[in-house]
Amino acid sequence: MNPIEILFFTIVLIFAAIGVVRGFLRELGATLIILVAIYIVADLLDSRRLLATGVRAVNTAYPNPIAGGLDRALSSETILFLLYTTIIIAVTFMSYQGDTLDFKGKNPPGLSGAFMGGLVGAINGYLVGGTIWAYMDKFGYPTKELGLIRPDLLSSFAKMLISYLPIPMLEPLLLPLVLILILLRVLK
Amino acid sequence: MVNVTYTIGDPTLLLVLALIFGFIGFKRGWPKELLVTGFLLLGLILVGFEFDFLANIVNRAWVFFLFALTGGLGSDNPSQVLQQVRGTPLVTADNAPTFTFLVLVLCAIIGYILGERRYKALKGSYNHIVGFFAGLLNGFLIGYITLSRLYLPRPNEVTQVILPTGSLVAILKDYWIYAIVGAVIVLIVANLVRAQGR
Repeated sequence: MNPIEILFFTIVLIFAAIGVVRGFLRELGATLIILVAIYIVADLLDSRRLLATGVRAVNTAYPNPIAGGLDRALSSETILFLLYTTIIIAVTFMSYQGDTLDFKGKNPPGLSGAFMGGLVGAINGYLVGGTIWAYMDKFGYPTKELGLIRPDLLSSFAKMLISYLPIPMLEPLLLPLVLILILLRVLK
Repeated sequence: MVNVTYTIGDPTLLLVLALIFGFIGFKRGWPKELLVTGFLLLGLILVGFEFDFLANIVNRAWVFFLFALTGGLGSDNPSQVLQQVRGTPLVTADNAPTFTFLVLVLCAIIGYILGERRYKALKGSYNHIVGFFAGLLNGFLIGYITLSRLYLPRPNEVTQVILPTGSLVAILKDYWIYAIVGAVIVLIVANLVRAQGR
């Protein structure tokens, strides 16, 4: 395996471990917020090209506004990737930090509670890590500019995994999933 | 239409049996399962080391049973009747594997019944986890005994299941990932409903 699959599965495992500790109901609250964030990024910002148009316009008018000390301009794709990733990571951080949107009830006891917490935690890890990877793939792996992840070195397993990442696979289901979770959260 | 051929051999059967019994062990808990394991091991020792002794007892009981059926000491010629019934033993070399299998099944059944009567269900994940592994062992033993004893004369036979399921395969190939997503959603909703006590 190349580093990107290892990184992806490590993220999933870390989130699963966090899920076991935090419990099923708290993790499900984080899932709802992450799904909303992915829906906003994927459907509202990316598909409707809201952010892309703005970024390209700014990048053309003021080349390299955020490149800082870099000796070359960042492409619009790289800027978009950084913006989407920042949004996803920031929202994920907020969903886990401080007062969280928990679902009401009592966590299942014992092994089943740990399993459900781990499962939903792993789903959160898949959503966060998978969305970042999907945008990395969509924008031609901007990380290659830093020598981190190069598309020409992806293994066949990694190429196969790309079609199962949240953005290509779950995009049509994002809104229904968000609605189902909101209904489950508010129904008493 | 595509025909799909599934070949079921001994390892597959053994694995399936072990998993089924593992699930039963998970539900029943470890004390009950270990009792079954004990009875199965006892049965294995009996048929492994004391087969002749066991077969002799059963054949003698069978002779007495036949003798009683045919009139016993009240018949016209008891010694002739006794000689006659002695010539038809129950356990022979031909049916020894079946007899062995039945002895072991009887041991397993006694173990299961005694376990249900003797031990109450324990709580806690430890009980279920150890029960699962004890159940796996029981499933393996029962499967191994069944396959090795009952089907010993036909060791290389496999079962082939041929299903004309081209359309089903096509559907599953296209939508299996959505089936998994659906199953996960159902699992989460079921646990959420239970957690909220609705």
